[in-house]
Amino acid sequence: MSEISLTGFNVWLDVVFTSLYVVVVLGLSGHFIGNVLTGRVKKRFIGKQWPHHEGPPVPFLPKFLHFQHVFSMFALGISGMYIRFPFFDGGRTPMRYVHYVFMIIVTINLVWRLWYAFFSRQRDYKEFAITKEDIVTAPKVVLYYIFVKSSKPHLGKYNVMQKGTYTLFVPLMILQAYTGFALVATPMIFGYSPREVLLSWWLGALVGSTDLAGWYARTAHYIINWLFIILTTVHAYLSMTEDFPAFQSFFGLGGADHHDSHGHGEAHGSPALSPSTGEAE
Amino acid sequence: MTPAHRTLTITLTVLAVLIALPALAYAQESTVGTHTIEFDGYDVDFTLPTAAKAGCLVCHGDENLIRLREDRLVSYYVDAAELEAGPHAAVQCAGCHIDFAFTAPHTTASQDWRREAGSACKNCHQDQNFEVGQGVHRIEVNGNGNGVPGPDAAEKPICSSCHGAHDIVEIDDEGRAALHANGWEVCGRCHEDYWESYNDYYHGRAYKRGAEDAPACWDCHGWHDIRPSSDRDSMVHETRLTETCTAPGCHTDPNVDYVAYAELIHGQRDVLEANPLYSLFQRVRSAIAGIFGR
Repeated sequence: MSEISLTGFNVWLDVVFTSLYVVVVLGLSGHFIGNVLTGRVKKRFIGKQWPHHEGPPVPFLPKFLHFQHVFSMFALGISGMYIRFPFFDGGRTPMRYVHYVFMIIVTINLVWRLWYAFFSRQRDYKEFAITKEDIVTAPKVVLYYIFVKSSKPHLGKYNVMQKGTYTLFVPLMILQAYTGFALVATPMIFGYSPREVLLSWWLGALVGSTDLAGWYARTAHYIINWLFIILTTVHAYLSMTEDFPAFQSFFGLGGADHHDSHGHGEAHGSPALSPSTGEAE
Repeated sequence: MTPAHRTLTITLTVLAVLIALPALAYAQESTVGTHTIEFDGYDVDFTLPTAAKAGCLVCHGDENLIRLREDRLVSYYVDAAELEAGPHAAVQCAGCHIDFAFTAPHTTASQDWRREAGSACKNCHQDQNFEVGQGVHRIEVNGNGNGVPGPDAAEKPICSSCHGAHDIVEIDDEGRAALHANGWEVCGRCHEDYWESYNDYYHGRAYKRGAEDAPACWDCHGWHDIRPSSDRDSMVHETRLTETCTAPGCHTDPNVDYVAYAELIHGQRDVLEANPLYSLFQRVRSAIAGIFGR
């Protein structure tokens, strides 16, 4: 890798992702104004016309996992950003420990959630599966979000964009955990560091240096961190503006009893109005 | 009062004075008091010695020992506790202040007594003095063989410029940590541009925020025989970077491609400003600020 790639690329990452985040925040602000102008805000927050939900209430476990995932990812984001951009004195060692503790919690959380999704009695992996129908109707979902259409197709608990995003979180989380552990350079596994165990034998051999392999891991870790920040910001915005009761419910703050699951729905109305699917968010 | 009573009273009073006199004399001897002594050209108010003060510290252990020099109050106080705590507690003052004698006024002192004392370390620390002689901080001498310092000698740092004077600390774990945190005092206040530019993510920025494991200046540049990066013997010469970066507690297996990152250690600002997107934002920001008259 040439010199410019190592030095310039680091700076490019900061500039591009910071700019992108500003664009996302501006975009969401614009979207909220759109919600106000099209009357969606009035209808939802004043008229209390939130998406209707069917099916059994979401069990406690996924809510609990979601809650501690949110908290842990927030702690990881702040401590991780501190490690790259220290913004107060004397915090590197404590913030590293914060990062270590929450990375373990999040890793356990990930394994637990995957077990829940695929192997538990309430396994819900099918709710995240993108079907052919999802793909066909995806443009209409996008048109709904950009205010071209006043309703979107309702095929299940989650729409295609949600399914895509939540599913994408899984490989990103796995990659983030892998690259994160690969940054630990302290020997702790029979005299080898996690970096050596995870990277030396393949990427280190390919690029000629374990440290350089670590640089790639750090860069990937930083990029994925930004993807999480951006996707989570959009997710938080949409969950609050599209289905606030479901948002509340996910944090144990009540919400309407029929909002047992969360989804971004609008104007698919009552089940009676959408008999073709019989589902609503 | 009867004559007998008067005689008894006078006798008792005389006896009491006689008994008290030695104690009074002892008390006077041990009491700290301010006296004025006239020296030729000096008018010194000083504190009498006590058990804790001796030698030069009779005067220089007094916090009030100040002089007015060129409209400025200059303190000549030396913190005895600081000296005692350091590695040079057993060294006599004149061991470093070699041009001083225990006389007042200090007629033997040279004009440049500070530099004299600040570079007297060489008399004991000869190896380190030799190393300094190899680096950029050495004082050049004229080429005529007479050993006269060159014209820039006064600008060159001496031992005390980096190490301090009476507050030199022992290089144990605590002292090493204190020294590590002292980069600005040791190097930064002279090399302000390098201090400013030491601002990359994991080294400079972290170091300035007190990260114990971020490198201080000398961890990369070396000490005593510090050389310019163009010198092949410099620790930061491009051919030696992989070796320098593998210092204990640093990187384990850097190769040439990896140490190319070193450009960012003092050059992050330059790389950022060379970034076209960043430049564009800066121009937009300036334009917006211009609209609002800022």
